[in-house]
Amino acid sequence: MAHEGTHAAHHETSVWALPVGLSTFFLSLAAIAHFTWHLPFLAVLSGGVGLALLAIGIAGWANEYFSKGHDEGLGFQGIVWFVFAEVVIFGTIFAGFWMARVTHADVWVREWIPQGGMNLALVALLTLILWTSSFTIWKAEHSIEEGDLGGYRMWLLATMVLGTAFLVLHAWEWLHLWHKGFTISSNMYGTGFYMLTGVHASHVLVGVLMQLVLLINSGKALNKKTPARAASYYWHFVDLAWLLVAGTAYIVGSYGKF
Amino acid sequence: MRHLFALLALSGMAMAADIYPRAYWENSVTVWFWVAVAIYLIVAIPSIYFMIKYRYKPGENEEGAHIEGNTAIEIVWTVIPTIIVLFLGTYSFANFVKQRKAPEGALELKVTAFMWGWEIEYPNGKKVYTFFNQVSDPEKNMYLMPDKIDDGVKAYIPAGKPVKVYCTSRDVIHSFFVHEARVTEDCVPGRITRLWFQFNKPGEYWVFCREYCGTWHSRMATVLKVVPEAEFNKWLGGQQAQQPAQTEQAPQQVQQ
Amino acid sequence: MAVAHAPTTGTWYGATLKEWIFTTDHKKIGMLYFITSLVFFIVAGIFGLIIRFEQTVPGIQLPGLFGQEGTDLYNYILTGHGAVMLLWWAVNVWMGGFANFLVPLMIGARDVAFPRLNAFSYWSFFGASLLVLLTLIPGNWIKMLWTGYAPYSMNDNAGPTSLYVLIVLLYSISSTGGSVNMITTIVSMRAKGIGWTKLNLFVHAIMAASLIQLFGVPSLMGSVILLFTDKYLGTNFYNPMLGGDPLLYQHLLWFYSHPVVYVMILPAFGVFSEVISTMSRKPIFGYISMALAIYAIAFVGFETWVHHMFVSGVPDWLRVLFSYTTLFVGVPTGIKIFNWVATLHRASIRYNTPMLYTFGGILMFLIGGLTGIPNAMVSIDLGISDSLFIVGHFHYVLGMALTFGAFSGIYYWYPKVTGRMYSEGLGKLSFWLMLIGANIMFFFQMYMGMANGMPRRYPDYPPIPEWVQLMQIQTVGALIMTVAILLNLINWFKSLKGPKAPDNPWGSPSLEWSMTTTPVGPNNFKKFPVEVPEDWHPYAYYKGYHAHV
Ligand code: HEA
Ligand code: HEA
Ligand code: CUA
Ligand SMILES: [Cu+2]
Repeated sequence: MAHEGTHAAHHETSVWALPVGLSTFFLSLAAIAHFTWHLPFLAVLSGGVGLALLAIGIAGWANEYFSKGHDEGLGFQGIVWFVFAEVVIFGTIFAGFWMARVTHADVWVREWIPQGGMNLALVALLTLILWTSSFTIWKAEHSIEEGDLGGYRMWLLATMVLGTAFLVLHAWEWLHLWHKGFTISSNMYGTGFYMLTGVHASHVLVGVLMQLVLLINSGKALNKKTPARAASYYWHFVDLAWLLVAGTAYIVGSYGKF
Repeated sequence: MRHLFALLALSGMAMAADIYPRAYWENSVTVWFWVAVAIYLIVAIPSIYFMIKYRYKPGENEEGAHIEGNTAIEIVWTVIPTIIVLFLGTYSFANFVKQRKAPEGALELKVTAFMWGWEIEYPNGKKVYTFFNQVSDPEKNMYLMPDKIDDGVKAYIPAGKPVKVYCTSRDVIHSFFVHEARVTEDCVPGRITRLWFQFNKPGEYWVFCREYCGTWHSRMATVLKVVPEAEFNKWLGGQQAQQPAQTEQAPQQVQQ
Repeated sequence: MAVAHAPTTGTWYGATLKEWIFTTDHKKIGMLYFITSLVFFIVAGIFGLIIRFEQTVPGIQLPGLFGQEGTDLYNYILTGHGAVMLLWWAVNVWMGGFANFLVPLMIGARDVAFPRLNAFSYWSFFGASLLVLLTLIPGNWIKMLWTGYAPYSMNDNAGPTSLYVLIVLLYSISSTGGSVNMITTIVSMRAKGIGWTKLNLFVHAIMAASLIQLFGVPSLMGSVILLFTDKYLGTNFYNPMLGGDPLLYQHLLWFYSHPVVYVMILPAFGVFSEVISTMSRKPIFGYISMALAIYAIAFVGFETWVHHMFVSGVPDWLRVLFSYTTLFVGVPTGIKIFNWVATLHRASIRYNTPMLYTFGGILMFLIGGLTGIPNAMVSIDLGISDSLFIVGHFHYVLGMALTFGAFSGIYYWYPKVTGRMYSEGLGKLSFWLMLIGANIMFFFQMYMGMANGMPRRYPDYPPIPEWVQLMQIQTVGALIMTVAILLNLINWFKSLKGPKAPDNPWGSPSLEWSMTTTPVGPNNFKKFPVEVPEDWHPYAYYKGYHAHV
């Protein structure tokens, strides 16, 4: 951080936390302007400011992290704790889904499952993609640990491509179902389906963005290896969560009578 | 001071053996109250004694003694509260069962709550509506006392007879709080909840909405007008023939 | 970041404005949090006075403004009072203010594990604070109360749902970051030789509270995210017509919002332990069981949430089950109380302001806790749920135990933070006024709920003479409290110019006293890395530490 190496009194500072912190305020303001105040101009303006602050802040933050100080190695533990919190967030949506599945088992099976059921072949493909990406990020992590920068970049890139492919296929699947009349407001199955898969997809997106940040800073990654481990761990969590999400949204949702 | 005495009185005896399930409620309150007072004294008396006795006196007790704990006594004050807690839970459980289970032959009312008022439907289809502005004086913007409220918006209830309420809501969550009977149950959209009560003495008793529901939550009240059974039947009107069996019944005694 | 040979010159606060704004230092961030909390406490307290004004006489006194009824204004004020008191004062004065400032000092660390994340947490909390201020704009009054029960909170009568949701979300983001930070710090950054059995009880309390935050806050986030999607994106989570359930909201809310009461009270317990031990010159009685009790409370706290839903229509067996689990919280809490009392035995008690607030806090917590018991006894709760009895119960624990704990802590660490001594006379006077005022206020509130069955959240009530009288007594109490709090504020401000304090005025072996200068230097310790002798313990008063005051 600033003043690194001086011997005078230290007041540790960093410019980057402030813009990232305030971006949450501007993004919120944008949502309120859009949904409640119906002020499109303010929504766009505030949303733009928020996104800019977020992007600049994260870029600067990452750059500062990779350029200064030394690796404390605590980032991994931080992510582990954070993932506990994520599990609970998923839990809330699962709770809603399962409660409805059990209490409305009859109508659910009779009326709520879209015509022709769910496309399980596609689910298998999506699963395959995600699992492959779990392997590629594991390779990336190993490459950096062995000091192989080229391999690290290549495997990271491969993971990002797979993650993006997952998102695109998934979006195609949503559009398809939506056009069949199975929407987020149809009933609790629609609600639970889109919310579970949507929230999961948003985590995939965050994971891909993490990898992007790593890729951009990969030139300085050799003595800062913790972020790669942390991102890899997060990605495994997202892949594991997919099993439960897909199992619930596709299989528990569209099969069986209870 | 008067209130303190009232509190002691409240916890010393069941004041309202004529109102159910309040009588059961008071049993539990009484037991809790004396247990709580006892625990408070058991903690407060020694601590105040120590506070005085072991205050810093220069030259006499400059430093505290070097004591780090005492396993035996710590086990004691883990085990005894556990027993007390089990006792309180079970005592409350026993009363709760009675508070929830309506006696046989209860009059059944269907209550529908809405923002902001009540629709109360009798078994013969007769309905009573109370809107929030009917329990208040519009000029002074203030509550009316029951005797000033129009009888047409009061729900008549037979004295000495258990009444079972099935409640639901048309919009948001409300709660049907039978004030003197000290029993409440939320009225939730999409669900039917139930409670029961019984007043043995004629009189007028408040019902309040006790789940926050917006602007006129605090005026979402109605009045139960408890009258002798014959008068009730007269009020209920023509269809009393539909329930002849109940006309003749004497006030029912609820099991204590 | 970590500098091995930290200089000891200067004070932690003597920095330029730029260094304050971009700071990543735990002490400055802690202070930013603390000031934000205190300002919002005063605002919410003034809201509390407006509530008293409205309830003192029957009828509706508040004016109808901007096309809204007087009751709408009341509902807005009550929402603000509850939400701000709980999240801005009760939670964040500890998790943001005290924890940030003290935990690294107590465990011998140079900073928290992720200083930049810490700054981020503060600024998103600051963003949440700005959103709270937005609700002051007419038309943006949030009137869904701090609990925001669905489906009312999606009703247009309730005010802007999106604003409520985003306030809660930003609070949650900040809290999640903060708790990840605290947990990692306590797990991994303790100085050499400070094992789990040598942590201050305050640190244990923050550890447990952070774990509660970490596992609980996401549930709160979930509850409001689903609220948001239900209202604006057409999902059906709380819509019973298409398979949803309004009670899901309550389950998710209370799964966090019950445990959070222990986030508020455990750090207060931590302060009680520090102060009692220091001012009695005696190690805390039963240290191990005190620490275990903290974690037990946090753990059992997650098993009790349905006690807020005893009359919501959940099945009877569920109510009875949760009645028992709730009652069991009394056991570990009792252990703490009894151990404090035992600590006084054969002690050498110094009576100063922090000690008075601690005694007051413990004895008032006892009332608050014992009045939690009837709420947990499901048979009694049928009659008092959502009555002023509940409100009285939680003001005893929050308005008294917690607030006394925070005040005790402020006085206790005042010399370390500011380098000056507070005024003892004024402090003691404020304590006695506060004790008297708060008891008048909240005892009669509680009494009204039990004896008169007065429902809560009622700006208006039938003009029964006894009710009016009871309401007026409460207002008298609230006014006395206000004077007391004003005296405290005056004391804290005026004493910034008070007499200089020595490095370790209380003669405590705890690291934040014994290894730092007064006020703390920018790099925390006189010597870094911190080393402690083999037989060191934060409560080892018998080891020849002497009080200067
Ligand atoms: C810091 C805050 C705090 C704390 C610590 C507590 C502590 C407790 N609370 Fe409280 N509570 C609130 C804040 C708090 N509460 C709030 C804000 C609400 C209202 C929310 C809303 O609706 O807006 C509420 C509401 C509330 C309800 C819901 C009532 C209703 O809405 O109908 C219940 C029900 O069980 C309850 C119970 C308890 C219990 C059993 C404890 C226990 O933890 C107390 C344990 C302590 C003791 C018991 C005393 C010490 C023990 C001994 C000396 C040992 C011996 C004792 C025995 C053997 C019993 N509380
Ligand atoms: C930490 C929590 C906390 C604290 C400390 C308080 C403190 C107070 N509370 Fe509050 N209260 C709640 C949490 C808290 N409350 C919650 C959660 C609710 C439930 C909300 C709901 O139903 O949803 C509630 C509800 C509630 C009600 C119930 C309303 C109803 O149900 O209709 C009432 C009624 O009197 C009340 C009053 C007060 C008063 C008089 C204080 C006093 O102690 C306040 C004292 C403080 C001050 C008076 C500020 C003093 C400072 C100054 C005056 C200085 C001014 C100086 C300058 C401007 C420079 N509160
Ligand atoms: Cu209806 Cu409150
Ligand atoms: Cu609770």
